Amino acid sequence: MRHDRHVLLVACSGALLGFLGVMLAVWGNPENSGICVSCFIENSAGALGLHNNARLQYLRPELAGFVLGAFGSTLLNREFRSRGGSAPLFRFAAGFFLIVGCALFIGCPIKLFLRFTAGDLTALAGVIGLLVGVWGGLKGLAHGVELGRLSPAAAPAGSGLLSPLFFLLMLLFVFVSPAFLIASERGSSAQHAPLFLSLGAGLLLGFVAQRSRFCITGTVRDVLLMGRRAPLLWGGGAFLVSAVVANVATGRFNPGFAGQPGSHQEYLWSFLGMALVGWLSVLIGGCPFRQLVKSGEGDTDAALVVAGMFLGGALVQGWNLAATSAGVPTGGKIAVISGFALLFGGSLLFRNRE
Amino acid sequence: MKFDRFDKILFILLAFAVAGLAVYAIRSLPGKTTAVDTRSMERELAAQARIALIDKLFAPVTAAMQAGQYQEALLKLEEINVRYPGEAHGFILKGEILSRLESLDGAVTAFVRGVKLNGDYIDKRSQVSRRDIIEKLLEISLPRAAASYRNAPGNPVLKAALANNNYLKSRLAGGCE
Repeated sequence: MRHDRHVLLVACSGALLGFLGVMLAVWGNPENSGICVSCFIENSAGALGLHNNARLQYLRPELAGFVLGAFGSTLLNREFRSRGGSAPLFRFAAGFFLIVGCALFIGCPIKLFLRFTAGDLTALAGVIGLLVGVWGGLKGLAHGVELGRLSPAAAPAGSGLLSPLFFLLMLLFVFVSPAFLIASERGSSAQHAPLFLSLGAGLLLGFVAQRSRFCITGTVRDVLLMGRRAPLLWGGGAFLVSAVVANVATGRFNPGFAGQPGSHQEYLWSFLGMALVGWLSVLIGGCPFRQLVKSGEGDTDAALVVAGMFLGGALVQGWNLAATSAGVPTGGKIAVISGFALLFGGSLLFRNRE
Repeated sequence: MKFDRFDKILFILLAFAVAGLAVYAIRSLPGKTTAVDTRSMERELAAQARIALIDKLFAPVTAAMQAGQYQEALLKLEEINVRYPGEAHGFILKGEILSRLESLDGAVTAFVRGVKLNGDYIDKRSQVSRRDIIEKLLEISLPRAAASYRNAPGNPVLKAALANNNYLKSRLAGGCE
């Protein structure tokens, strides 16, 4: 009975994520980017003045919604617990490279499947990359690569509040724009859904994702480990079905390889970008979306990943590492290879050989 | 949890800090609005100044285009491009001229260079938008480029031409940049 309820919750989370992922684009977010954690972080980093790409600066309320929704959920269910202290610097660097991998593909794992369900067949390279990356991460775990266990003792009580407080401040900035906040008047950041719809969707998704523990790479990981017995499989399936139905119903399903919104045809780099994201996500316990949710639960390690993601969001734009429809810049290729170097080097260092 | 004297001192200090923060935040509110408005105005001024400057710089080219003297317009454009080689507007005008001369591949290549330098030319709401022109051009050039590449799949020139068409199509389709 309890298992059935959990499966239902996971399926609802997946369906909501897929549906709102499409609908937020219908309501004003960029095409196929109704929900894209990496894009939102790049936009928000720009809004805070951390990069100067004038077309990518907007404080996305969805981000604050994800974290605060998860925070609210843990408070309601008395699950909030500060914890952390496991390889913090590695996690910070991993956060940076998560965004590098996403920037090469042009989207996080959620957007990967939003693009795919809208008929963007170039996303297939990313899907395969994510599968291979998660598989690689699991092989690493099986061979003793682990960053150490999270410990409540290592994180002083209350330290887990810092991330929700930071995002509460971001939410305040959304409503009372301080002088330093920047908002693009052109480009993809000038496209956004109405504030309260974005925030409401974010809060709802943060809440249900915290309850269900649903995330994209987690689903792939569990399916590779448990096959059809994985409860998250229902979430993944519901996500795909609801996203396809919403895309078809709103006339956004345009199958093809060429000329897709926010995509390029450098398949090797799409593959490598998502492989890096998948592998890192397994090591650090979740994709960018899950890291935000966990940081709202009091996980200070996830909060450090989020901090790394903000640095990544700033530097992929500031250093011109991000791919565009024109292709992948050389700097981006170097960055993703550096990410793999960190991943493999880190795996050697963090390997438990006993 | 039991609070000792030091905790109480910290609570008091925290209360002072929060109160100070609130006072300064509230005081800065009117100034904040001015600063945001000033920055928006500065951006708007810079955008308007750019438009005024390119209008003035490229006036001989647009005059020749309006007179239907496309070859002369191209020559004048080359002269200006020598002085301002990285200006997106030059490529956009070249794209427009070549499109009127029905040199489709040349027009697409020029538009690609212009749009890569400045995405405003593809935005719906931009004052300098050439979205409609590019859309009309692609309606003809994309099927042609795709057919040519299908007939000679190994040809690198045709491959590049198709990639250029697809780039413009992708930018028109929107999405994150």
